[in-house]
Amino acid sequence: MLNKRKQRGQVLIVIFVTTLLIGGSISVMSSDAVGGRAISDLRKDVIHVVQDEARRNDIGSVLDDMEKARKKIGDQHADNAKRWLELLAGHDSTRQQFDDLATAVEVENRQQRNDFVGLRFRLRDLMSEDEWRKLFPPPQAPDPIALHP
Amino acid sequence: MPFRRSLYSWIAVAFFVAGCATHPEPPADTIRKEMAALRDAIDKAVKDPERAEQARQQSVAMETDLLALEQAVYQSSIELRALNARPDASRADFDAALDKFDGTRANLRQRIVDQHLALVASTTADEWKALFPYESRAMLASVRIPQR
Repeated sequence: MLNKRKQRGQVLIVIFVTTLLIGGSISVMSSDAVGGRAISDLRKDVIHVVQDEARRNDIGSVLDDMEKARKKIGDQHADNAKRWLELLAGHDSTRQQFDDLATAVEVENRQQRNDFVGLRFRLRDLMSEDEWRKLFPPPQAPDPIALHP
Repeated sequence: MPFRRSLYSWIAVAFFVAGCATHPEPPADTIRKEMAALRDAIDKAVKDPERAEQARQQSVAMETDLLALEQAVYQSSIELRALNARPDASRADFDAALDKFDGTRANLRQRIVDQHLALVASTTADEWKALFPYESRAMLASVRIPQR
């Protein structure tokens, strides 16, 4: 059970980063919610894996920052989704409008990407290699749901 | 156009909430299903045979690129998960992986926008109203992250 939770924690970090990458408003989807749940799972797992209380507290602060980042990113993605859908729906939408939105989203994406990868490394710096491996085991076989024919 | 803005806000929220739910269906299947439905809708909504054929051709090209985008998202999530698991992974490793995915995504997005504009150009405003929901659902499926 714990192992399953750890795997979700692993998914959290990466899915989160991946979500940012998509950047465009069409990327608004489930991963944000999955990320939120996984952060709480990760928080629980840290209690078992990291024995030192001071470091646990510091890790908690980084996870707090990750949750704040998640919320901000979620808000930006929701706004971008709305703008993207408006353009898709409009029969008179122009290429320039799509390009303008894409450019703005890429600027956001770059910033979000840098911020979130920075948080990942802050978290990494607070753990030993062994602790990191326990919290973030390598991915196993792909989920059949996600398999492609 | 406050009503139109409000309507799209609700659509965006609906897609967002729908996206947060568990999807038992693989994203690739959703893309194929919605694009097939789009072609059926084109047959019904676009009465001019020449324009209908143009629209169908664009939808086929778009389906190919949406599936490629979905594959890129999936592959990227696997690669990043593996990278994150490595305690010795460097910032440069992350930047390289993310740059690779960003480049693929930007190229595909450009092509998909081209196909979208060509598809829309082959319809009237009224016809497009009937077709838009299928296209938008397929697009959202293409960027759905695999859940596990």
